[in-house]
Amino acid sequence: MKKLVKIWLDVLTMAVMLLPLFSCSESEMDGLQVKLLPSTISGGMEQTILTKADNGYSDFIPYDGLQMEVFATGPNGMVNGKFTYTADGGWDSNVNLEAGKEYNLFVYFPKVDRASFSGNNLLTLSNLSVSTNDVLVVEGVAAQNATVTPGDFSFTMNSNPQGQTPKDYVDLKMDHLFAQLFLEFAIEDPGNDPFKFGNLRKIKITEVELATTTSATATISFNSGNSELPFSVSWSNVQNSDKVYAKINPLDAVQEEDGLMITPGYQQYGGGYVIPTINGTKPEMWLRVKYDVYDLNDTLVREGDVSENKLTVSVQDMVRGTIYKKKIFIQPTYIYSLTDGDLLTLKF
Amino acid sequence: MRNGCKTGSCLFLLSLLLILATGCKGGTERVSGQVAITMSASVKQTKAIISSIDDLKQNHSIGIYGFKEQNTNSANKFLVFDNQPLHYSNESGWSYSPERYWDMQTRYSFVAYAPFTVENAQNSSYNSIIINKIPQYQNANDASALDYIVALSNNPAKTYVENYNKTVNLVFHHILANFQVWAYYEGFDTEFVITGMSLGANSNGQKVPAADAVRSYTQQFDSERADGVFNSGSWATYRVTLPVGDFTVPKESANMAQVANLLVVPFIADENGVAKIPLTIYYTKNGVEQTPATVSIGISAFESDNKYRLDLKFEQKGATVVPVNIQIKNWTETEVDPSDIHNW
Repeated sequence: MKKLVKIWLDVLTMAVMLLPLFSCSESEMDGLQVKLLPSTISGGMEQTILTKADNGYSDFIPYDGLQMEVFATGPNGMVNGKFTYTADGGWDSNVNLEAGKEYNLFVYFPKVDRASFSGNNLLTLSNLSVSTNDVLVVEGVAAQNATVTPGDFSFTMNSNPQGQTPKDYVDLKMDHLFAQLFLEFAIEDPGNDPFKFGNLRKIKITEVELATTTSATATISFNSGNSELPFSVSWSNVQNSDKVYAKINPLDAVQEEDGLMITPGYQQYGGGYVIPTINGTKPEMWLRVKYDVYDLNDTLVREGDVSENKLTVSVQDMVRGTIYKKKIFIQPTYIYSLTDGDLLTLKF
Repeated sequence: MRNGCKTGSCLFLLSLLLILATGCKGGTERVSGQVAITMSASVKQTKAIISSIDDLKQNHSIGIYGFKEQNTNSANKFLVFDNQPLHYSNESGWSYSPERYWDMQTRYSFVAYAPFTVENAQNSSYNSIIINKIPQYQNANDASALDYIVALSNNPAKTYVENYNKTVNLVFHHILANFQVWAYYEGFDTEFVITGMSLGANSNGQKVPAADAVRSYTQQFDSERADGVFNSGSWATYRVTLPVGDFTVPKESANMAQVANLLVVPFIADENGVAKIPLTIYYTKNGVEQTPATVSIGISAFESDNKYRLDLKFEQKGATVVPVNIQIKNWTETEVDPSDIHNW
């Protein structure tokens, strides 16, 4: 008996000793999770995973169809064009610059319809609200493989471009313009209650949209030479109108399963992008979720149900460049089961 | 049988009757010894739409006015052709109906024009004919474009009959100017698209006729040649947009292609006629709108029956810039509690 007690004490002691280690692991796990958070920078269902780097930046892998809008200011005024990436052809550009001349490159993506550039450093993006894609703005430019310093937007074109379609190359550092809402879903645990929804049905989320009624204009002022604040953003023309919806790109794992079967434990779905808090006013947001209902034998009972709920974010100031991890707890009502004949039989 | 004829005699008489009957049906010189007025046509130069006499024959009808003077140099004039359409066929050449016949004692004056129109042509007191509603600028490639040509002929009937085989020979020339712009680019692959053109300058430049101006053309019958006049009209506020569609510029001079093919009512660029007319070209480069380019077309006036061609060359300088390595600032993470409870 003493021996048994000693074994239990040993186990307990080890558990106590390991506890800080697990705590540490938890912390690292959090860090790892950050690394794996998606930066939904694609159009359509494309998705790129960013890997956190030591210098506070992550390498960006472009996706097919990506368009960056470019404003290049130089000796002969401003040149407006775009960088375009295709899976087959790689990067291409219509930003034609004079050889040997110095330019400042101001870049953002994805390209929006209502963008303008004025003066030497003011980029205006209008009618921003929610977005499927991360909206990014350049904070530094350098020749290929040179160190990119935030606040330095200058670049000198090769003085002797060669080839049939001569090109010169730049490296970029970008920063976020929007805040991100990263969503996790769970459903109530039915326990052993045979009448609880989770013991009768399963729900698979097939599409999630983020909506807001708030839109605004961002005026981005590039601060050359200021590595601490390469650009500053001034928001204006804040308006409330009809809801604007933006699809949230699901994580790769969710895509592979054609959706997310929600369980009592929280599971990650994906992130959507929204304008941050402007002058103390946080945008009102909603989630519109499309889902299918299955019975416990995985037979599809209903397809394409839609539910929309207002979304709360506890922090008042949502700031650009920040991910807000939001947990959504799903509480199914009897409205669903009352419509299904087999469940009525079961209930009564 | 005595009252009849012999078979041979009967056949001879029948044949003679048939020959006479046939002779009365056809031909142009068998009624009362009169000589019919016949027409022929040719085009002096190749041009935008009516590019050859064959084109005129196949695709257009001619309208003709003609009168005769009862006595040479007399003021008594009789209208013989009043906007009479002439149609061409391989069998009959240029023909009209009903036929008219030369009055050998008189002198004739003709003005012919094409394409034929009932609504927009008129004669004016035997002195002239007028063609109305001619747009100042036309895209020659439009199906509705009108490339008017005019011909004159003025002789005693005797001359037509004895020297010209009884035929009025109509030698046409164009009363409008033809302005063509061609383009190509050199250098590395770039998509240049010409999206528009305008004539004239913004201000303090050379005035040109308004884009929507409509002209009338008056041609005297007794001129030595077709040198009619257009009525003067309103002047534009310096610059007019030309009827030109989008055009993707081809690469290399060997592939040079026509951007614009315009019919222009002749005009002088300003009152002094000394200024060179500027042409502004609006274009995009790889889909991006560029600052319009203004070039001088080197003339101060468009003259009738002249073709003007401007060749544009787009040159590329420098190179394009593309990104290679892109880094994105990491997100800052914040947990948001408590959870939302959503009732579905």
